Amino acid sequence: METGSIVEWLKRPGEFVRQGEQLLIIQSDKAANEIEALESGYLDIPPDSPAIGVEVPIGTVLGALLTEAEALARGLPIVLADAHAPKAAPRATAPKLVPSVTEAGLVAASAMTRLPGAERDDVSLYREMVRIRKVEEALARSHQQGLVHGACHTYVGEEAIATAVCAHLTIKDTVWSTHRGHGHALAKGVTARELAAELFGRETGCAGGRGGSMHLFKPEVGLMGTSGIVGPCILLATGAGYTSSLLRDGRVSVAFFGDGASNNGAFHEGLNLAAVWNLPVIFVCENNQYATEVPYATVSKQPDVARKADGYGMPGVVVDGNDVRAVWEAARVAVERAREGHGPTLIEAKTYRTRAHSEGMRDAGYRSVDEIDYWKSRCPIRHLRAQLAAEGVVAVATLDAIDHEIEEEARDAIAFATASGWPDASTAADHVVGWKAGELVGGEVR
Amino acid sequence: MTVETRMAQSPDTRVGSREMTYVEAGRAGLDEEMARDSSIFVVGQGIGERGGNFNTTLGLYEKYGPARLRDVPITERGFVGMCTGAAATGSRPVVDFMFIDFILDALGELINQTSKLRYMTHGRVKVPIVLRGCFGLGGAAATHHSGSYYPFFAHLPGFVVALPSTPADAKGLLKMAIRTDDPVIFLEHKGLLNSRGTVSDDPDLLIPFGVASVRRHLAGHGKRLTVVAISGMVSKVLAAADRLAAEGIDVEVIDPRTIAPLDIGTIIESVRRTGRLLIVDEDYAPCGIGAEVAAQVVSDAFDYLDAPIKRLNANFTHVPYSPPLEAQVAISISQIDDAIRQAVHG
Repeated sequence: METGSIVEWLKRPGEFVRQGEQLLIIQSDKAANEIEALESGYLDIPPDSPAIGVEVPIGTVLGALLTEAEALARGLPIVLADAHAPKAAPRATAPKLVPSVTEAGLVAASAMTRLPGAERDDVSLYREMVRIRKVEEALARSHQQGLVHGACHTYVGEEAIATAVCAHLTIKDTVWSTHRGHGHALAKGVTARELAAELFGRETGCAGGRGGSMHLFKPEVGLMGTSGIVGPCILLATGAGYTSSLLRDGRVSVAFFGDGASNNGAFHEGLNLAAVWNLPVIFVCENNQYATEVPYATVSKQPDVARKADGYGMPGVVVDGNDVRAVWEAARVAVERAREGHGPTLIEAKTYRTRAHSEGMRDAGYRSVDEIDYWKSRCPIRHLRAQLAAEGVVAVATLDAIDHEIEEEARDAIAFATASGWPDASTAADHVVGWKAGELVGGEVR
Repeated sequence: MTVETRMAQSPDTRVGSREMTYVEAGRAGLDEEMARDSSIFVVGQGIGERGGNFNTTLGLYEKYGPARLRDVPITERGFVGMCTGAAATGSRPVVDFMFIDFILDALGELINQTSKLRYMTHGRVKVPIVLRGCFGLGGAAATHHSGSYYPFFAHLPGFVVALPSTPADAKGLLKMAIRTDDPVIFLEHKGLLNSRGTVSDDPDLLIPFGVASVRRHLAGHGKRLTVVAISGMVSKVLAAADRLAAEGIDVEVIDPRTIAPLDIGTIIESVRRTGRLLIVDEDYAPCGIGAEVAAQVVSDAFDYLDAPIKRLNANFTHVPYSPPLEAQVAISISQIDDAIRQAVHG
């Protein structure tokens, strides 16, 4: 054998490859050979690497396996776990993370991991939106049955935004969210089971039953928290950006917040700090037009939140929040900008929640049935489904199959939550602090 | 990369010590920690090239640069929230408020986010953040620059509240605060900033939280009293104890050093020997640290008490500007002497 050609890369640039994993297939004059990685590292395929099918002599450099620092220095989009890699074991790629809660959780996260700049995958976007919708509807039913004990703010009608933005994130990137955060949690990699169990107050929930609907956490996949207080997520995401900037770790952070937060001081202070320090943050304002039940039009003279970005010296973009492709494109540009060190972006996604502010609350007296019906007719899921059907690229049967799969997933999540145990009551005071009186700490240098 | 280093409660005898001021000691501790851990950064107004209003960062900007000594706009809520997010994602911020009164604009973030994230994430997110500032009466700093506020934070789960009273403690407690994976409120009394003392150069010398220091032991003759003194009151009570020894009063002086966690064990152990307790605290009396100490002592050492527990606090009013008005509000030397006499004889 003197020459060969690449048949297929089994890994993608930026992906972490473990020693012994199959890396690519090379066709020689005798056979197609699977080539395994001789050491672990992040795959770099340089621009001058031979294209697929091009015959090159033995000794030609096809790519390199780099350390994390080298990969970041080269600007590689690092991905820790990737569902598309046939032999990537999500658990094994996790050591740089906080230990995982459940393996299922990490698998779900990897399913949402996308290479920045990758092609838009409409079927995945559709699947994720349907997933959020059906899980939300199942949770709303559970709330009616008294199985969800406290508040339950659903994301129904707004699914396109979390789905499209999180499609550009890896599990190392962080998301800081609001009281209406179920969609952000799911899109960032919290499993339907962990979400449902948390709302049911069970120990298998993503916060071990400490949080409920408004306090969802899964730092292992970058879901750094939904919140019962309006505004702080903007500041916290800015701080995550500061860490990324200080440690040059290549991560971006995203703050999801509503139109209500845009009138809060945190919005001004956070956007100003992120802009002046050029931090890798994406501010996503989900303008659903009501802060609880107060119409945005009655509390802000400026109808477009995105225009406020100009006051901080950052780009502001208005996008149809019910058009997943439009949000995807806006988020692509913003995430790229952040990753490349060009600073933050404010995206305003105009949208609408079609259910009550919180399940069980009276949803009348501040908006009309006609208005709700109009926005229901602009359902982001139906919109994408119609687009895909019209374009004829994806078979309707494929979409139907996804719907059925997701229905099963939602049913399974509720069954899982119902069957899960309560947290051990004796743990109620765990994790207030990590120190003990009289103890010395800090023997490690990070 | 992780490197193990030494931690110690007593200094390495091979390492020297120097006389320095309280501010210099804190700064030396900060410098050593910043050299040790590149994820530490400081934010505040004028803490960059200027070196801090109270010289808390003097000379550090030249060593560590603008990303690690970050001058910020006057947005306390903003930069506390920002630093909380930074701490939760792998860096170790030190927020320098200059005057601790300014922390009040950030209370919502501190209480709802900073102190709760570890708990809410079931222990999976840590928030290593130091919130430091100068407090207390003196210097005609007037109403908005003379507050104390530390019982707020001691009242809430999730905070350490450190109140060093000597240069050595300023260094050792600040280093401990920086290395701890939880929020620490680190308060420096304005009256202590230029006080001098011997400070070890041992870079690994730490002072743990919740370990009180007995600053003056019983001499063994005279009428006994335990005095718990907080921060700036420690040196004043020590001076009073020396004066009153001539009157046959034998005072043991305890400096809790941190009020959260509070080393109640050392206080109770002392009260068992003296039977009498006075708490001298410049902050207000109602719901203050003196009330907490008294309640715990009554609960756990009631049978050892020979007299009612007494408290001496600053006047329960806002702090005025004019020197005679300010002096009227503060705790005076003669008030300390009288309070000690009353606690012993009353």
